[in-house]
Amino acid sequence: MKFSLGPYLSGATDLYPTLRQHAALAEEEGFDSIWIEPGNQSCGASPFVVGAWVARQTKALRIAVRPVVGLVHPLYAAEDAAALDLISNGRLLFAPLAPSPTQAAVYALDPNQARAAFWESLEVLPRAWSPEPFQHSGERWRIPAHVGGNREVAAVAEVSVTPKPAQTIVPIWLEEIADQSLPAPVVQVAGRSTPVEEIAERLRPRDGCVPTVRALLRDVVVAETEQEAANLSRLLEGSDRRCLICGDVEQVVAQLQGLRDAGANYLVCRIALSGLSPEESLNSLRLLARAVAPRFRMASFPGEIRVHTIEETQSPVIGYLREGAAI
Amino acid sequence: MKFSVGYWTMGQTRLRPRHHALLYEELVRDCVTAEDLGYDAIWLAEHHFWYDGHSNALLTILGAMAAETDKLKIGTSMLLLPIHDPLRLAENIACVDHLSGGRLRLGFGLGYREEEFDAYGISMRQRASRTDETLELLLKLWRSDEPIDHEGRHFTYRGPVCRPKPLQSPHPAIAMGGFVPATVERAARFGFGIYLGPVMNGEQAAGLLDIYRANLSDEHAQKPRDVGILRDFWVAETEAELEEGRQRLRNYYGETVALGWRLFRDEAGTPIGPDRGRLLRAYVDASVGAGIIGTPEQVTRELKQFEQLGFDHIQLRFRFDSQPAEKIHKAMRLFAEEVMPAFQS
Repeated sequence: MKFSLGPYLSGATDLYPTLRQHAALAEEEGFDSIWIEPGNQSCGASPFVVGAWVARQTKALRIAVRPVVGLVHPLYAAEDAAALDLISNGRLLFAPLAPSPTQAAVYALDPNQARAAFWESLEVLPRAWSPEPFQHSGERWRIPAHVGGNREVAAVAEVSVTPKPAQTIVPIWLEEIADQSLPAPVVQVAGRSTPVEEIAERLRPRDGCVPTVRALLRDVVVAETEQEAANLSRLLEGSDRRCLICGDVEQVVAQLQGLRDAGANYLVCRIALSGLSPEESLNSLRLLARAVAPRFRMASFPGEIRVHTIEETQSPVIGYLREGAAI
Repeated sequence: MKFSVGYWTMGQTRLRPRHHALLYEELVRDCVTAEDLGYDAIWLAEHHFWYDGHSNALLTILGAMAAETDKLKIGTSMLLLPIHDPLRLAENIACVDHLSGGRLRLGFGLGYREEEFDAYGISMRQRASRTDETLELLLKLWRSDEPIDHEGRHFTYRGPVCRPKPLQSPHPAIAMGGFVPATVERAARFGFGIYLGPVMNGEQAAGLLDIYRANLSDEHAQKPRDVGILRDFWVAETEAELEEGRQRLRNYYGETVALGWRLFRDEAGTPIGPDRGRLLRAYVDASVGAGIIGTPEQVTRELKQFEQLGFDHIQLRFRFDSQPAEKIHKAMRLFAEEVMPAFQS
């Protein structure tokens, strides 16, 4: 199983120091990606801006951005994504979100219009990133538009977004279930409120989806003791408790094994949870990185070695963390 | 007098293609070099759908630049305002301002390439009215904590609140960039600074500066604003190096701007003049002629003239034809060591 962190809110400016700290730790400890999204209160594309900021402070961590797509012209996201992919030397994961009804209303769109615009945007984006110029004629957008008055370009038939992304194919990860064919394969993502019994169905292979990676979002709290975990869980604001992963190391390992058995093999852990202090989040992240994640990264090790390795290292790790040593 | 590095573009030509990832790496090196050498700021220019790549996602790139610098101001020169969605822009600008610790500066322009407008489904004839509506919306979104309802000619919003607000209150310093009286009249109306374009001579710049001052209200005139100008620039100590700089500038304007882009329109997008070929040749000659290229003593004399006209900030564009970074940084260093001290008062 692979581990990732997030999503972090791109508009939460007071959490930028936390994001910087967590990104550094996540990279050092072998996490695969860090996820950034705007949050419900925002319609903006600032995940790209914050993603670029994180990209320049990391070298290996993938940068997963979740812009809201479908509210504005898709070429904005196409150009932002290409720039971020180049800035990060090909580390972009593009995981767009469909507009919520609230976000759609801000742009005077009804929810159905916004959803349709989301899917139309996903038709446009892979073609905008492809090596060839392209044209698009859809329900909402025509590219090039040949707007009346733009007489000089009336004969221009195609557009080429330039520069192109560093990656030949930008990975698209979708929490939405694809209800139509897209010009690029997508990785299916199960949201953080997906009950464990629905994970297998949610992540089953579909046309156009890549079944080898099955991603799941979860809120995660890891504490040194069961009692401490229970105390922290009472502080949480806004987490879906039915799907919360919470406990001491052994409890969290057991819960994650359940998710793995249900079909998930890529866990995106939201660990900077509302209600927890920066120190509490950081301790939780250290335990996740050093005591929990190693159990799931050694899938190819013979079982006996894996168990011995864990038993031998777990206590020193916990002791190290308890002393509050700096990373 | 403040000096900054700008307006940064990819600057690659057909004869000298480079990987865009390398060009972004060079941007970062330019930023660090500019900061180390004591330049005031570095600025990014926006264009779209051109093989040069330019820099079409300014605020995303500025997010990266914020991570690589500590003191250097970072800015847009120019962000093409009528091509953008105001709400998305307001939020992105606020984000960059926070990530940079309040070092963001904003230069807005109207744009002049019809391809860019048309790909985004916008009539270039509407660029002036879209600019005005966007400016009003940005100011409203940054200043108001209450939901905003807006039903305008180009944009409709129901109840957004811009979060976060910019770190600089109420917003980063704004200047309008351009070449024509309408630019400086708009800047004066809003009380913004100005950045005049690189291809006008000193006399033309002085004329626009007069119009700007005449239109600026007493209230706006009391507030600090940049009164700046952009110049293509090269400084070196030998004639061979200077000639190379001139040739590179000619390559850039000849290939990209004159042959590739469609210019010479009024603000409504109407083509100016029937003899475009002659205009294009004249444009290249005038553009290269307007550049400041010389030894430290020569460029100091030319820059002093702009200072005497009343400009207090000059953006120096060192990168226009895929020059190797070492050469650019050598010129930046020569300027910082030999020319900047002559302007320290």
